[in-house]
Amino acid sequence: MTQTSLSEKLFDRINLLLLALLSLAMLFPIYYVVCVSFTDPAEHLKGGLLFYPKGLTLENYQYLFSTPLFPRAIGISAYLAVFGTLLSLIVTSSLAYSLSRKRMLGRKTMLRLILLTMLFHPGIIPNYLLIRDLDLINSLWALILPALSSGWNVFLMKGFFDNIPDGLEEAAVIDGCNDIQVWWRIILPLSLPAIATFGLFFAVAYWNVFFNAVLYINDFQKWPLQLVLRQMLIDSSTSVGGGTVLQEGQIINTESLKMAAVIIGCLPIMLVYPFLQKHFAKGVLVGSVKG
Amino acid sequence: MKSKLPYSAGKLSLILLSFALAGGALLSACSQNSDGSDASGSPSAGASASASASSEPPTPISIMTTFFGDEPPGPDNVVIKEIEKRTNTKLNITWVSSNSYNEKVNVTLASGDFPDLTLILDNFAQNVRTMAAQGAFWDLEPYIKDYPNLMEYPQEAWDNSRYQDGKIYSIPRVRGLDTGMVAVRKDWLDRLGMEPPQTTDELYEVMKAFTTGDPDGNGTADTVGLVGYISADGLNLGSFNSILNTFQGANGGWKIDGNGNLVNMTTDPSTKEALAWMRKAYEEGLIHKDFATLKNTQAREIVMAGKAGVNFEPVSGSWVMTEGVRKIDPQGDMLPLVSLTNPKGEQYVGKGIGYYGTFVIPKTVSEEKMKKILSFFDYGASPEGYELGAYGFADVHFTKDGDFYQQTEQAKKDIVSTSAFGQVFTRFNKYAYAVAPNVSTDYYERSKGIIDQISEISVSDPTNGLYSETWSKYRNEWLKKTTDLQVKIILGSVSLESWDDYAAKLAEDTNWIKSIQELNDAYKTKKGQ
Amino acid sequence: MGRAAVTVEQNGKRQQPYGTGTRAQRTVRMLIRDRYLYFLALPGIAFFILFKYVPMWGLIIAFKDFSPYVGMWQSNWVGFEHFRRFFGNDDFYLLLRNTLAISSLNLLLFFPAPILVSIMLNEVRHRVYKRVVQTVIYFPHFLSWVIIAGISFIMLGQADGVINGILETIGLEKIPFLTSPSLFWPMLTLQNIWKDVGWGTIIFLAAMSGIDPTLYEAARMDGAGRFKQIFHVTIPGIRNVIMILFILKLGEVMDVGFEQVFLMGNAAVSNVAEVFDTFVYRNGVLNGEFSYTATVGLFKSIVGLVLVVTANKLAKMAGQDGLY
Repeated sequence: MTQTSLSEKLFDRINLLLLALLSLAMLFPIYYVVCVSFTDPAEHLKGGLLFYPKGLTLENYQYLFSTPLFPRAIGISAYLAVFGTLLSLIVTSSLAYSLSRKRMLGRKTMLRLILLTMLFHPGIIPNYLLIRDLDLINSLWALILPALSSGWNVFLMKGFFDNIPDGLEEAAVIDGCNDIQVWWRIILPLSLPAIATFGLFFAVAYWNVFFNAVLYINDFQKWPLQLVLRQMLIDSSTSVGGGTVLQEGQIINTESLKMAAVIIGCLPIMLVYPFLQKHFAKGVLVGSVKG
Repeated sequence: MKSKLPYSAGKLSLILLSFALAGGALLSACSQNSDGSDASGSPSAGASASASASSEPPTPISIMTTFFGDEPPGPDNVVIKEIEKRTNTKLNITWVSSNSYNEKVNVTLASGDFPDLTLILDNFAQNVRTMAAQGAFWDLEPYIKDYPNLMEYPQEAWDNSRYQDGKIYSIPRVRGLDTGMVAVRKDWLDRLGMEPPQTTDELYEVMKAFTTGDPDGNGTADTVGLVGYISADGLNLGSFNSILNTFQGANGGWKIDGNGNLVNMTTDPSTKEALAWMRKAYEEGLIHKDFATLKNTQAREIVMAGKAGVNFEPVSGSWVMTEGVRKIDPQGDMLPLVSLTNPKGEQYVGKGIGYYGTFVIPKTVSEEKMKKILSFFDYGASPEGYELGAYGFADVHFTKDGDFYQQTEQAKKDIVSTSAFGQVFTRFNKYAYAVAPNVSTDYYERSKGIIDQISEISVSDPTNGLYSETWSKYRNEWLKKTTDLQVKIILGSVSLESWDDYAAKLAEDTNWIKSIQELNDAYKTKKGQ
Repeated sequence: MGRAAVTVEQNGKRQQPYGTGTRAQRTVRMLIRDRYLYFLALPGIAFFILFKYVPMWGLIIAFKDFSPYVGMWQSNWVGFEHFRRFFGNDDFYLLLRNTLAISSLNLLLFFPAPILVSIMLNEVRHRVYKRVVQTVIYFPHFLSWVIIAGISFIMLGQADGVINGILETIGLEKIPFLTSPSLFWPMLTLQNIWKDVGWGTIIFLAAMSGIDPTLYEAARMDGAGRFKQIFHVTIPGIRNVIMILFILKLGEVMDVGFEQVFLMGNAAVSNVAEVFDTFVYRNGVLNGEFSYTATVGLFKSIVGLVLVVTANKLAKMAGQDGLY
């Protein structure tokens, strides 16, 4: 008995140590990016590795916040991340749940067809023409509808629903629920860890939407955050390519500003995960079955 | 279970519902908002403009273009309103982030209904060329003569954008022709008692002194002669391309020989000489160790950090580097050189094509409207129109001091700048490359003098605007392989002699020979016109 | 009705209860029985049809000389011409080798990494510690490849790189990390692991949270140590997710992450860094040659399809659920 607890302790120690090392390796870039974002651009130019912000300044952040598009863009991205995620979860989980029921006729064909959409990509032109024909150009729906679901999410969510014991469904059916009620009142509440996980995946995807916004949103007032951030950071001289002409009023962006934008661009969505983690508590599913 | 479930389900549905409602409200609010601003922007102001300008209703013109800076000007922007009034137009501008502009243009062109004026960054891209051949764009050649300000664009810019069928399908967005190619730390030269290099041999000596002679006087040999980058797409030597072209005495590696034939200099011995020069310099540590992995901004930053003294950059970049250097060393000065003379005694400096991107007008636009668009554009190329578009109203948005426009805070507020509407209205400025943000007066005047000298000797690329089916098909494969091998030779990872085999093999490649033949034919056709 | 369905399914056979009438009649009856299930699937199915299948016509341009202006239907048919050009390219085998090498390394090392880390996290008892580690390690996922390439350069550069600086101070020779062909593939894999190992743990941790805790209790009763619990409870509990992910990953074998390879590649390592994605970028995308681009894409898709179907068959033969 003492022996097992000794080896258990050793196991725990080593495990914690390894994870700490891993975290350090990941922490370095966060630290580095944060340092640079608070560094005076002129100091950063001198080069070398920064271990602390040199010539501490808030000007990079002030600049980002001072632009009129910025607050609106955060609002739009937040809206996409919340509203889009909810729609995505509803569409994807309902499909994944029905496809996880083996009694459903034709489910294998449907799964195969969904698989094909993951492998074959028709390219941006047909997608653009579709969005145009649906009259969605310049509408935020153009950023939500084409991203509502994906084969990857359907297959994985179905994988989670596959594990739900039939006993639960049976009990609900005895209470007179139909399939939709079973899905809404039993399956979804019981799969909270999975729903939280996929919600996070969807939210991050919506938050990071960039390319579709370039293609589908002409009105800059409706640009999401990533588009606005990257627009601010374009190095005018590189993008002008062969015809390098710098003009008055063009801002040469500094590395410090870029890093500040990186922080602003990912901090809000990063904070979602720690918040969701409480849903990852063990035994939600089994606990309720017993209860 | 029973007591637990309805609660969580009810809570979940309540949250979902409230989010959905809030979301729906936000979405509709968004679209209404923009519709509203559009509506308030157009009829009232447009009506007053037309009333004051003429009895004719304003011509609606849709435009797609790129912009720099944080935010593009909106439809109710004061300057745009004024331009609409003066040109009797109603503008509908789609401002596209200069990120991914090409993809946006490609899908827009593919959709068939593109704006009345569309900026295309590469007017010789395969898809654009095909569309031009299929008659998608107006041939503007017969019309432009009637527009005096457009005719002020240098003939070279028009000719370089001309297709080999002799037609001009687009209006060039003009830039300076003379770009310059290399800049050297003048203060370092002074400290070492050296003159600005004029030949490749002298440049080599300067690079050596910059590496070993402690030019910054800090007591350690922590500087390097030359820094540069390789093109990010791997299709040419990037900033080192200018060294190659100097040795070849040919812009872009293409030259007209004594018989009036177009020859490619890749297989010429001068290419090997250039490679030997760079290989030796790298071996002796005169070239920055990481050049093969640097991006152009990184190369510039190394100069700004006072770690390198020579960088092949146009004149505009030399000011950017100088400004950076001066934050560390107030005496710092990157001097643009006029030219370099190669061992054969040829003086070389490249010449640009004179534009960056062109505007096309679709054939779906009527002839009458096309002419209106041209006159709108012509206004933008006039001194008055350009000043209005790029700088706004005198005393409100700018004050003028000689050649310099001092922009006011109001200009920033109203988003009036060369980065915004200055991306639509352009006017040729010979000294465009001397202009740079915050440039000091004496630096600017010196750059102007250098550009004057450059313009007398600069060499242009004779293949501008030429098309060969074989060449365009295999071009990038060849360029990539050539660049890869050249970089390896410079790094010393393969022998210099391996270039001989490669060049010999390339010269025998049937597609290569065919391409050169086709380009020669194209050259003659274009010249004949 | 629904009750019958469940009972039937539990018995594992479904031919009996509606056994009267023709096959078609039985089908109709089953459709009616499960009508709510189909109703649930409807929005998702509509999504896939509209946004995934309708644009599929775009694949045909691989067999045409597509010109955007005249449009899809008027463009000339060229049959397999683009495929001939692609397969006839001198470098085809080099591209294939590099692509496969990079993806194999990813499958071998990058794929299992998050599984390992999530198992380690699952063994952590201290809740706060666990959450902090989880949050920290998923940060790099949000950095773009441009930023990561920049950080890599600062760390690995030859002139001023941090690691080479350390090597120099301890008297060792500098290593040209970024220009050594032999280090290029491992570097890509390491970057991938560094960027996405934390992100990858999310899905496995979610799967682990669904494991019945009583299974661990039972294992402990039987005297199973930590390793035994991991192998007999944890891994079987997430096997399903691992398998789905692995099969789906196989479908992407020909995609090696264009941005990363393009940004990290340079002329000095080109013979190991040229992959299908970079090739098509230079020879199709840059040129606006949509048909050629589509051809290479179609080739990649077909290879992916073959691998996924084969892997799924093998999984089924091994008694697993498979994808479908």
